[in-house]
Amino acid sequence: MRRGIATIIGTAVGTVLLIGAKYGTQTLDAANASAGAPAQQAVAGAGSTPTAAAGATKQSKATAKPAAPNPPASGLKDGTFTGAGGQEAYGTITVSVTVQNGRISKATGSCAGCQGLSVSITGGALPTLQQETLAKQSASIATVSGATQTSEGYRASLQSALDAAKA
Amino acid sequence: MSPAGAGSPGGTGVVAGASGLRRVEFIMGTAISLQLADALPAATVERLAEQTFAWLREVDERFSTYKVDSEVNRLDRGELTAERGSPDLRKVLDACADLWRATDGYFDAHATGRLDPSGYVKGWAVQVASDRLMAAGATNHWINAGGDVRLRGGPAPGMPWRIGIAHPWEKDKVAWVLAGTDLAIATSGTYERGFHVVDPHTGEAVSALCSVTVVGPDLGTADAYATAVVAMGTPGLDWLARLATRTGYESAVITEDGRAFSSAGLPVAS
Repeated sequence: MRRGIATIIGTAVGTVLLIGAKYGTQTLDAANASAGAPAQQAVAGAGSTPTAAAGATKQSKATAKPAAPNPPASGLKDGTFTGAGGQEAYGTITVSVTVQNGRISKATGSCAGCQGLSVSITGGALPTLQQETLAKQSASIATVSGATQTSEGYRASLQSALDAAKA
Repeated sequence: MSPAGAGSPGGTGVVAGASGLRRVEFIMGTAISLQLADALPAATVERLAEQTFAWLREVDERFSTYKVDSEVNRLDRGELTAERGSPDLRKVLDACADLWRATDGYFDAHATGRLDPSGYVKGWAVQVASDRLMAAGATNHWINAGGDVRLRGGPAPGMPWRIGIAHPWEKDKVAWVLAGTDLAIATSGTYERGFHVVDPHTGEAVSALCSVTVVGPDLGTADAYATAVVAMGTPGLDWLARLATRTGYESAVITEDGRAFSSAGLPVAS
């Protein structure tokens, strides 16, 4: 699953979406696209081989098809979103992304008129925090970091006990 | 919350000598614990401790919202402009503005409807105190202000400090043990009784993230990030993951329903 190619419909994540074609690489960077708008922009940026550079910078309107009534806080609505297609020297590249639970679960690319070319999409996975088992330790420690204690709360805290033990 | 800086300094447990010094004072409405571990002359250690607490009391006088004539209150009442304020005041205001932007508005020094930079000031003050101790040659110490810790060096040559992250529901246990020789560790959360966090964008109470710890180089920044993420709720998990990638501030989170999360670079003790 290639989740994490979030930029194309515009979270401000800034992940770079690469479309590799046989004769060159086109970088799509939609970091500037606005989030949450019904029609979002995908901006095709520079960074290409001479062959692909012919089609350099252009904008295309993306059409949002289905949309969840309550978008998650990521700013991404669930559904499948297809860009209108960017005209390149070798054909028209169209990118679709599928959003599930506010995350991009799938991204695909196709190229109309690109005879003999293949389109592949690569993108770095969005970083996530690792879930682990909540530990309950009684380890040897110098001090404790915890949610703000008032002076009163301190007296009943582990930090207070540690301070008393060292005093 | 008790009024910040209530009461006179209540130093308890002063142990000076080759093994260093441990002291606790009640400032900024909380307990501030100091450990100095350098083998310095007792008089030097005592002087450094006094200077450290004097600075923290000074910050309380100047920045507390509970002190009528603090710079922050004079600014809030319009009796002082930021331009005519002290360099420290301007520094704090600039940092709060930067952090407001960096956290998509979730760290908000005006969240209560008035200027209240306390969420940054405590960590900043401790960071400055630790920096000053380093400059004075006390390179092995930690300061813990109400659960926000800045540490340098370790308890003995070649040994890092070991710091527990409080377990939200087991008062005498810790959920993680971190180790390091140069860390700022700030924890915010909803598990302290009577502590409520409100999403500044909606005004609604948030409680999904019970404990948020942020670890990095600067304590004021770490504290502000931790506070902001509690207000973000669950989406704060992804925000923290990106933060670790972008800036190296690592994190550990416990959710209301008892799940634990950490970033890959969290300096967990071996």
